[in-house]
Amino acid sequence: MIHRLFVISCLEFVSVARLRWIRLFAVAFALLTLAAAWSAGSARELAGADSFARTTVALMPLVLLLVPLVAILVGVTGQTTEAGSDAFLYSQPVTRFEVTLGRWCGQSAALGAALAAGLGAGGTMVALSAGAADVARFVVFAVATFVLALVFLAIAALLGAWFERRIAALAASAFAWFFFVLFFDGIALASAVWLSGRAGARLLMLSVFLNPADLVRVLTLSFAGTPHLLGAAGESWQRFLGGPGWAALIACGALALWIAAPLTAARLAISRRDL
Amino acid sequence: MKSFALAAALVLIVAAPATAARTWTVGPTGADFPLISPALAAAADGDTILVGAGVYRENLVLHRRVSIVGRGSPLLVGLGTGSVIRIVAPNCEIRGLVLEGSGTGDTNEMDAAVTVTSSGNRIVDNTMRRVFYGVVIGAPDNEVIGNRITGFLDLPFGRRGDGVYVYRSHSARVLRNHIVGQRDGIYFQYAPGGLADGNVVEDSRYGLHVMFANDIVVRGNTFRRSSVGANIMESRRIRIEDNNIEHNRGASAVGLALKGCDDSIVHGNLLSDNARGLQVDGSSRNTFADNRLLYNDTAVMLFASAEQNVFTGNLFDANWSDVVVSGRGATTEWSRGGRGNQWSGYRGFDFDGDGVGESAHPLLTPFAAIEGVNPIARLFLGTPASAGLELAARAGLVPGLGDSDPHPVVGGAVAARETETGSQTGGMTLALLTVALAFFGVREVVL
Repeated sequence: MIHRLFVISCLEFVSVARLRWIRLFAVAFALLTLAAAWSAGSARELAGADSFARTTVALMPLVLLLVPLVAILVGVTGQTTEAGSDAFLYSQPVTRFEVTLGRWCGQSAALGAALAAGLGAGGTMVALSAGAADVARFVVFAVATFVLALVFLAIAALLGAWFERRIAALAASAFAWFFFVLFFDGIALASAVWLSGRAGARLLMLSVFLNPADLVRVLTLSFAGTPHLLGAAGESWQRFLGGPGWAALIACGALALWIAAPLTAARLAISRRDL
Repeated sequence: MKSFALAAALVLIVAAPATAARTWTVGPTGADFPLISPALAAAADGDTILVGAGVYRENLVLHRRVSIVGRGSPLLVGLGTGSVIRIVAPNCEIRGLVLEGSGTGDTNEMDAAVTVTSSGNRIVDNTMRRVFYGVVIGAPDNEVIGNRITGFLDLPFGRRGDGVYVYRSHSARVLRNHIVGQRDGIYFQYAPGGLADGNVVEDSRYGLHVMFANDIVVRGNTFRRSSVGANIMESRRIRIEDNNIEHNRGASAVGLALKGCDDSIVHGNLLSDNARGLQVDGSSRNTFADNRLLYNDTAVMLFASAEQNVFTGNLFDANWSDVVVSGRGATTEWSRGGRGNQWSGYRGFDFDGDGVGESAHPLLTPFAAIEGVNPIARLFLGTPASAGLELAARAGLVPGLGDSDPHPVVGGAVAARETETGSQTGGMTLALLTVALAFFGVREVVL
């Protein structure tokens, strides 16, 4: 099974890496890192002390917007190929879920490579010009970004398995992106106004777990941003979860669940589908 | 007989200045004394004691008006209890010594490198290492100048003393000292009319602490990497001018905190990279003018208990939040004489070119307003949703957010334009890249 998974992932890796815009995506991330470092002022009067911390914080909103989008598009287009080409693959001695999981692995590797190349090149250039202070924060952020890509690739795998028509899966992926990246936070902010007090605070702190993008953002800001950027809110979030260590552990566990659950659901969906 | 004694005393007093002030030397070899205490015992008012390089282990008490001057940084190690030097007589001077080995406060005393209980003394250019308190001043009109003071860096703040502690003593002058790792770097308590000028305080609990002390002047100091840069409490008519207050971080860290502080002037300071730049709580009729607030998580935190404060000519740039108001009803004026503040987030224009924008600048972003209602909402800082909310507010879709700056300053009226252009260039690059990526991405997916 491992061997078959590996073959399918290699296949998928190559087909994703062949996409010109994935390569552009890597270049864009290198440039984005530089631009963020510039706009965060890390190359200016505050250079040195916390250059990467500021760069990380400045880069984060854009990355949280783009990485889910790219991941979900790569995922859905890869999982739902044109009519006919799937038939060949499914006629081979592999299970349906092995195809889905293999593709997910390949896509993950390809996006991981693109992110590593992009953020790595950008980070190296920032380190050369503004110093490598707090580079660990940037690395944590890069890893968190990769995990976010894994989550959205898993969601894409579920959508690809669920919808029979490719265009429907693409539409659903656009909606999923809209929901997790824009809509969810809007609802949360609106509810913050109506539900003040203890219950409201609890609800807001829990709502972070319902959205992988928020999880990654809060995790990054708490442990890799400029310290205490989230202020009392971040502090009480950590305390609510039983301290910084537990908060990190629980959040990482939740992210793992956000990867495992859609993949499991995808397995069910693909096994019931009439191919 | 009585009048004879009086006359004799008079003769003595008149004759005293005639005896020339002596200079005594202290040193390991070839000096008048091997230790400082016997020299002090021998010295008369006005004498100078020159201390050569070497190590001296003793505590000193100055009962007469003397100057102790170190040559070649002599090291004076105290006995580990009480203060290393206690100045009881007025008009003494301590200069050029290296002081260590004060008590550690175990006996609830303010053990210090130097304790002063008389007036007109000068503590100049000394180094105080690993001491509980640096200098404790308990009498008016003393000067502490150019000292380097380091506290117990390895102990929790509760077990450290203050760098310079001025207690129940007016008109203390604390100038150009460098203080590291104390509880409060400089602390004026019931000590009106003091001056702190040109000091640097780092890695302490509070850089500066003022408590029940009116008419303090704080000028040209640097307060960095502490829990609170400068904490002014229950005092009036304070002048805080041209200080650098920076890198004060931590969950509840503040650059400059005013609590119960009235009728004061905060002018020309740089508050940069603090968790909160300025926090105003229960303080009224203060003027905040021409300060630069940059790179703070929250630049200004106003509590509703702060009334009738004025902000004019301040620069707000590159802060995550410019102003957060907790509670309602803070009566703050955001411009004076038609001159408001400069906001990097201002979206209006200056059509007539007089340096003041034509439309008002709303102070509270919708996000900050939500945060005022429910602090946990800050968990959603920097989300696209919060950006969208701000866009909606700018388009007039979200009504009534409270205060605004009626006369926002535009253009080079305040400093640091360069930074802003930098961030604008960065923002433009980001936007262009996003568009390019979206274009190519969509083309390849669709075609």
